[in-house]
Amino acid sequence: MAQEVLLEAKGVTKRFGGLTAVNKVDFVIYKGMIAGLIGPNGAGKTTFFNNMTGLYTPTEGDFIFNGKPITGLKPHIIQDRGISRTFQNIRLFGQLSALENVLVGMHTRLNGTVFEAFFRPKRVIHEEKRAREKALDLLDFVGLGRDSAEMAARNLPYGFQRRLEIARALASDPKLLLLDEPTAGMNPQEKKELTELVDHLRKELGVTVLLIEHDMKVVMGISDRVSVLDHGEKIAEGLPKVVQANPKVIEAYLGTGAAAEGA
Amino acid sequence: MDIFIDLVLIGLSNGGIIALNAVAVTVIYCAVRTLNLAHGDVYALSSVMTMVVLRNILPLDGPPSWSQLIIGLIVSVISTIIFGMVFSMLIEFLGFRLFRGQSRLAPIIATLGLSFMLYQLALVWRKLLPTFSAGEHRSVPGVDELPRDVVPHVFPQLDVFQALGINTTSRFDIKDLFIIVCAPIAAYLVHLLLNHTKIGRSIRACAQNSLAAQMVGVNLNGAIRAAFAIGGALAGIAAFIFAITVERPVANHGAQSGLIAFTAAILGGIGNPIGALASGMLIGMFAAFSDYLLDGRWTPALIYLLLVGLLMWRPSGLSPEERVSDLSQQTSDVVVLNATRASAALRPSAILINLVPLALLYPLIVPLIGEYYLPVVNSFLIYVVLALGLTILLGFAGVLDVGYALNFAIGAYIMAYMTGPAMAWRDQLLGFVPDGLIVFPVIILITGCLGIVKGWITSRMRIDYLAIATLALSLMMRDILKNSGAGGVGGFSAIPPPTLFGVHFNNFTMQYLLVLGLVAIIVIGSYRLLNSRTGRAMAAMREDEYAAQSSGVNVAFYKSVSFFIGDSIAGLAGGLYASMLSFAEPGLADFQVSVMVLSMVAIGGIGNITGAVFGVFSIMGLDRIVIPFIQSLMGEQPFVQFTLRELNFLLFGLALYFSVFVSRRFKSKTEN
Ligand SMILES: Nc1ncnc2c1ncn2[C@@H]1O[C@H](COP(=O)(O)OP(=O)(O)O)[C@@H](O)[C@H]1O
Ligand SMILES: [Mg+2]
Repeated sequence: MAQEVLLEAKGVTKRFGGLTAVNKVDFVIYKGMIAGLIGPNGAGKTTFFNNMTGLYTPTEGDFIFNGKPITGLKPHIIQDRGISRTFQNIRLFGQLSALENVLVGMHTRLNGTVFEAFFRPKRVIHEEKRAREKALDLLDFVGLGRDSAEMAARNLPYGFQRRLEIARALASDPKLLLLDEPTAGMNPQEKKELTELVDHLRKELGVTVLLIEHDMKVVMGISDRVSVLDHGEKIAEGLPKVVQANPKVIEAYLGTGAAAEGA
Repeated sequence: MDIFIDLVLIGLSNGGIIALNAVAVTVIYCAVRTLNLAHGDVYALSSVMTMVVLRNILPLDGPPSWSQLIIGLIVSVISTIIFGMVFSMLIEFLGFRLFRGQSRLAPIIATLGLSFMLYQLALVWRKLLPTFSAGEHRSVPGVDELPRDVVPHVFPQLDVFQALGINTTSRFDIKDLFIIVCAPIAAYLVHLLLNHTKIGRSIRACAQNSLAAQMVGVNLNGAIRAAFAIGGALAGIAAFIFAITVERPVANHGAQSGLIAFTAAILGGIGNPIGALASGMLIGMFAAFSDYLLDGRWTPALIYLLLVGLLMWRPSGLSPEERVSDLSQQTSDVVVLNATRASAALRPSAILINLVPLALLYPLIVPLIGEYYLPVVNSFLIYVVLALGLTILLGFAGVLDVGYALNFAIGAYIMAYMTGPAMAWRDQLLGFVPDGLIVFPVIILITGCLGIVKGWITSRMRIDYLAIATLALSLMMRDILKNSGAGGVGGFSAIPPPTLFGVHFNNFTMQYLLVLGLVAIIVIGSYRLLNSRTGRAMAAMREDEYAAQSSGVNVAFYKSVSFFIGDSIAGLAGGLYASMLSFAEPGLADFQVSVMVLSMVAIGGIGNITGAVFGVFSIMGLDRIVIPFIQSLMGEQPFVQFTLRELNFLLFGLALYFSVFVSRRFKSKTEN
């Protein structure tokens, strides 16, 4: 299988004082795949994301994206290179409208400068118009509908907020989309719909997706490959079915007692 | 050598009072994780309490009897402590509890408002006392800086060195000994309280992690209230000590005492009472040496410099390792209240709504009330410019600049230097008075760049630190203008009217048109900004810095842009002010000016363009037109000791407080 590597993590370690949150993790994502990253709470999944997106700098190790190292770059530069993300605890721009949230996500793909903000040349007027249309399309795509476009993000229902965050992340046409527990706090029906959306965006937009999930069921359905973190270390990786049956994984998820019982 | 001992002793006794306030600030910080900007005013107000009690018990002339003295001291210390506690807990309720869990900005604006109300209370109270006599120094028009009401003597004239038979020319007054002994005892008691009592432990638990503390059963409200009570008691003790040793109440606005206490608290590692004690003493000593070796006039500026430096060094109040975990907290702030929506910017009617009333003002006002009010209207328009600038900085970009007047003053001084009479440097270098075409761009460039510097200095600070850092910077600039060769305390006068393209704007009508033109440009520019890639980036950074970065917004760059725009507008306003009112003085950089503009912006809804215009007219209208009018109707002064106009601090304070208070109610209604 001639697969092209999109992102590679080499021995990434992150320590907070005495606590090692991520421990020598090697990780590869190929173009076009949906990769799942699972693990119990506190396993270091979010920390791994934060290191990849520049909010933290890894204590050791490197991230290579599209053949170039991105370790230690500023978050906005990493986003510009093509990695977008959502947050586990939704972080929208609460007082901006849904549309504006998406437009902010498009920031690196627009050219209007500070001066042009005041002088508004034709070029910028056109650019803004096209940006708005594209943003509305994106809102449609994630299932928000155009009616919500002018609503302040913080007044949207919870499920819509999750979807809006995805739309914002998609606005820069990322090569790699990182989703941090996008179904957290949802009921089974909502979870199913969101899972479908993720599947959909890979098929229609061709983005590569790295999906963090706490809920195993969600990942198993759509992931091409699943990796498992526990106490900051990668303890298993492979096809969903295979990983699911791995005793180490069961143990991590259920605790040693339960694993012993099963054995 | 003797002088050295003198300085150390003076330093220690001044430091004792600073230390008490620093410990108070630290304990309160522990509980709410925010600096209490009104603390200094609780302290200042409490000192009036001591004075009032002592005056009623002790004889004003001649030494008191022993029984009078003992009763007087006991009653006054207890009443002052209770007084401080009550006000501190009031601030806890009004300024913090009402806003808990909503926004980190709201308590800061609210306490700022409360601080001004307390200041007003202290002023009025003292003036109502029969013994008040106004002081000579006036830096703020209408406000007496050093009233000479006195606290009766408590201490006998006694030199400790002499009494002990130590042979030295140094003096060591019994008063100084008293402070040096009292402060550490009080600080140590607080230390014991925090470490060895249940309530102390719960305060410290809250400091570590309020959520976790609550989960293990700590009564959060109780702990916070206790912290404020302790802080208030310490302010009371400090005020008592100050009043009986210096023999007058705290004279200057409590803000300065507050800033010095913050400096000590942060120097000592915020949250650490013993550290606060030691650094309070240290700063007292530093001040004593700087007073002697340099000049007393420079000491506050140096302390402000130290404060800003400390805040830069520890911009989040935590060690670098702890700081990282900030990310896991939700940081979104409800900053803007009722802000202008970007979508409104698409409609030209939105712009007209702001400009038409302003444009009509002049033709309406002249026939109605005559030319007399024209300069007043013109000065209103200058404040509109200022308020619009702060709207961009605070409302669009979310930067709480509490020293916004800094560049207002700088703009005025640049105008003075470039166009004022008898400027030697200009006559040598240029040989002519430059046109506005040169002066205004120079002002924009210099003040804008100073804004960027300010942005860089404060770039990594949390919001309450940013507030006090900007305040300290503006006060530092005021002192520099005052003490350096730049015109001194009086500043510059006889600055000629503005010229532009060779046209002299030398009558009120032309000046009105000039400022109106500028306002129009800024209003249109603001709407365009709001609706642009740049404006959205600023708004995103205001709402959530981490999410903005992750969405590709270069936060550092857009902070600089916001500071450049906001501060160059302040500079322009300053330049116009100087040339239209023909003077420039250090007082333009005063805290009062900054807070006045802030209250104008707040009253109309932070971030709302029309609201800013409305805010200017309501505040200035009350201050300059309505109140003088009422006063003229009442004829004779209604109160013997003060005029209605002196109540303007109350006005600013109320405006600030209620603007955030209303937003709080509004918010809780929409979110539930
Ligand atoms: N900024 C931080 N400072 C200190 N410890 C942190 C920080 N961020 C995460 N941690 C710790 O790292 C570990 C992994 O956390 P996280 O990555 O959020 O786990 P997950 O997302 O898998 O639930 C946890 O023990 C957490 O407490
Ligand atoms: Mg997580």
